[in-house]
Amino acid sequence: MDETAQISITADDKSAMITGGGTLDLTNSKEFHDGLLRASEALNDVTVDLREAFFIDTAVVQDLARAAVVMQKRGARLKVMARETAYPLRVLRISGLESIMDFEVE
Amino acid sequence: MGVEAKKKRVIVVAKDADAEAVRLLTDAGYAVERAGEANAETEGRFQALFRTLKAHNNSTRAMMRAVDESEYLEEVCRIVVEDCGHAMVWVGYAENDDYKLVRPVAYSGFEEGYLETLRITWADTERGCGPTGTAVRTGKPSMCRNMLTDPQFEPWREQALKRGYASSIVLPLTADDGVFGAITIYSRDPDPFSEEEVALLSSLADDLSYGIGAIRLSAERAEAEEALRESAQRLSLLSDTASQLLATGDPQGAVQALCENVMAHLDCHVFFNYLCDDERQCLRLNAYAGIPESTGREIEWLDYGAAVCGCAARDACRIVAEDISNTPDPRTELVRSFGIQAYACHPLAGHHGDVIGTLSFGTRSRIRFSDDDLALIQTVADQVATAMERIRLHQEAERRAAELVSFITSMSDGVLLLDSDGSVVLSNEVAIDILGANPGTTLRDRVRHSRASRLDGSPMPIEKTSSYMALQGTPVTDELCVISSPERGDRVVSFSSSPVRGPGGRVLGAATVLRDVTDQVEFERQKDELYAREHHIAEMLQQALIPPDVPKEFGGLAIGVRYQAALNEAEVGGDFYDVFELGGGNVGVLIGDVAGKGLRAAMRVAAARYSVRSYAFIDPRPSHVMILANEALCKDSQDEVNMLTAFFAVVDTATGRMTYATAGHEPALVCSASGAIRELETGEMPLGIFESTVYIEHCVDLAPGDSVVIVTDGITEARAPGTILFKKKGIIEYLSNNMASSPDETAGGLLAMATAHAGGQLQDDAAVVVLRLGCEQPKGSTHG
Repeated sequence: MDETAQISITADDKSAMITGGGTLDLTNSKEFHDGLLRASEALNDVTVDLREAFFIDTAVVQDLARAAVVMQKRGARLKVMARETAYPLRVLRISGLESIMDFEVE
Repeated sequence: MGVEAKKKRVIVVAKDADAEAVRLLTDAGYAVERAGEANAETEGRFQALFRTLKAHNNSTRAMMRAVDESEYLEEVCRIVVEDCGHAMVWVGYAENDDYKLVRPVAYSGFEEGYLETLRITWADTERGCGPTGTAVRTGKPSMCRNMLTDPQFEPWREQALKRGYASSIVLPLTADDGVFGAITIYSRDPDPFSEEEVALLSSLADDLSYGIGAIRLSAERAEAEEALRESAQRLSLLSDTASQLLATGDPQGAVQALCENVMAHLDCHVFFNYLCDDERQCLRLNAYAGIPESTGREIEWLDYGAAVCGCAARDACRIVAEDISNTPDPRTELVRSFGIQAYACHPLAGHHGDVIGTLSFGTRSRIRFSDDDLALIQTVADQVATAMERIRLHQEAERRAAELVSFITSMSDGVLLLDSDGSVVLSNEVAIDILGANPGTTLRDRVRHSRASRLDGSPMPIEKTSSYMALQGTPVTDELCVISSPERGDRVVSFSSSPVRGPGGRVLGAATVLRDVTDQVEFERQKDELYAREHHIAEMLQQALIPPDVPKEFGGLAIGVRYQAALNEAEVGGDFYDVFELGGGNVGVLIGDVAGKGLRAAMRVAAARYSVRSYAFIDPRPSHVMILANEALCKDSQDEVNMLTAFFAVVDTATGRMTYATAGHEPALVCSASGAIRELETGEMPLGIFESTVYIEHCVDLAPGDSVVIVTDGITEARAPGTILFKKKGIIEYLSNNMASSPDETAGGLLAMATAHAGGQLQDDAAVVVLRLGCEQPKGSTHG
């Protein structure tokens, strides 16, 4: 179980993939926060891959919510990839964010 | 015995010999008179004595004039032959080799190749038993009175008789260490030597011995004087060379003049001084003499391994070439073309034994150098190398010192270089400005002058200063000290010092870097103060939000609450709860979590809490309260998304019905009196995201003894690094094992369990609310 935060961002002029692994919380998710914010403001095809994430805190949930709101204003929807049995998916479901973003569950 | 003393002795001996001759003559005259008549035989002997005496006198004079040994010997032989009228006289020296030959070195008279036939030895053999060999061996005069009849003379008889020799007398030549030769006189008459004449001739031989000794001594002295003069010249030359090289700041330039001097002294005709050129990886001609300038230009650059100098530089060893014109060595081709016969090339050794160049001398006048010449050349080469290396190191040291000064001067921090006594060797303007640390001031002066003190105001002992510690070998980093001066007031200065070590690790001094951090310290202080103030405000806000006195029981509803602040006191968390009476037996229960930390989060908590409380008093329906609170929070956030999760419930203590709405919060757990535990509905998205979010209301009827447990994620996400989360599973496990506990005990126990699970310290703040309906049957309640 690698808990170190691992964040990568790949993007072109149409889409972006923000991948977050390990433990993502308020103290280490600035790159995730900034990348997601820029992508959501500029692109309509933004995917957040949390399949390798072990833990996300409310700050990350808030980033996702903010990105989803920004994109929804343009009629686009944020896509989030997560594992069924992983804790982040439970947090996202409890947060009731399925109504403003699409979950792709493995 | 000195030469002068020897001469005096020779003169005395000569006078003694004259006196002896006079005495002999007088004795002879008396004898004649006593005989009464002067017959022809007696007169003949007298004449012979007279001639011998004359020869003695003349040989003595010759001795006094003699400078050259050979000429002296020849002259004595001539004198004896001419004055005494003998047939032939020769002088031979005894060789100390295996054959012990007596080697003829001078002669006079009728010789006609006789000496070549002699092969006389002084060994005790047949040819050594003749008169000469016997005299040398015994150290006494020896005679052959009649060659015709003397059996000992057999080996030489034939040749002697051929030349008309009839007899001979041999007188040994002696020195302090024994016989070294003999003078042999041949007469045409048999038995011609009277006793007196033998004595006179022995005296002549003694004089000859002395004369030879004196000449040799004189020659030795002259040779010694020449050697001394030569040595003095060499020493003078070396002394001059060393002085010039030490005095000059340009040893490369001085090489030309001093090597020309050495060249003249050694009778050399060329010299070459090559220096290594590291950039071009070859040798460059620095100085030379004895060849045309055009040739000098042609051989200005020399590859390693080329010619003698290139080989000496490459192999770092001396090369001495002798008899060059007759020695086929390709390395000497170049110097051979200059007509050089002997050539010596020395590598110039640098400080670390590396070759820095070569110095070579060559001569056309001889085919080899003497050992003294080579020693002189080596010494000069060593001196030149030492001088060049000295200057190179000096220049290197100066360059580095200049770089250091330039670097230190350009530094924005103050820099001090201290010697082992703590005195300032070098300082820049910043250091002088801060400390007044001019070069030459001591550490004690500086500490006293600057009235150095610690941050708490106590005096700074000199032994505790960073510079002192560094001089003791201990590096110190960022030692803060207050420096006071009338001009600048109190300034906080950061000192970092490191020992400067020399060979063997010995501390030679210390380097201290200092920086005025007064503004930085003040900024940090203000920041801490600000942070503390913010934290204090946030804490005050949060404390204000948390009901200071939640009743443990309200209308039969037992209540337990707990709140645990985050580990980092500066990070005031966003967890909160509220329990308040709504009237009509209804109790409002709110628990939530604001994303983020700090004052902003605390303010958000305040806004959420009072929004919910206010709306609930107007219309207690949880969904309605959530919708209104969400709208208010979204408007309050303007363009930003500042979400918070919340669970709000209204419990009718009379009926046991709990209506609730959830905004992204952890689902509440209901624990029945029978021990069954179930999770309530999850809800809609957190507050503060979408203004138009509709929150759905749910309800659950609680039976007497049922408990409701609501927590924030500080409980469910409690964990130590590397371990799993506490999760809902941890809560259920605790509740299952503590059914009999009161709500207050349950709230405290859950918090303690989660804290223990996190390794004794929660990383995030956490809140717990536990409700339990009393055991009395609620009015009109339904259970299921």
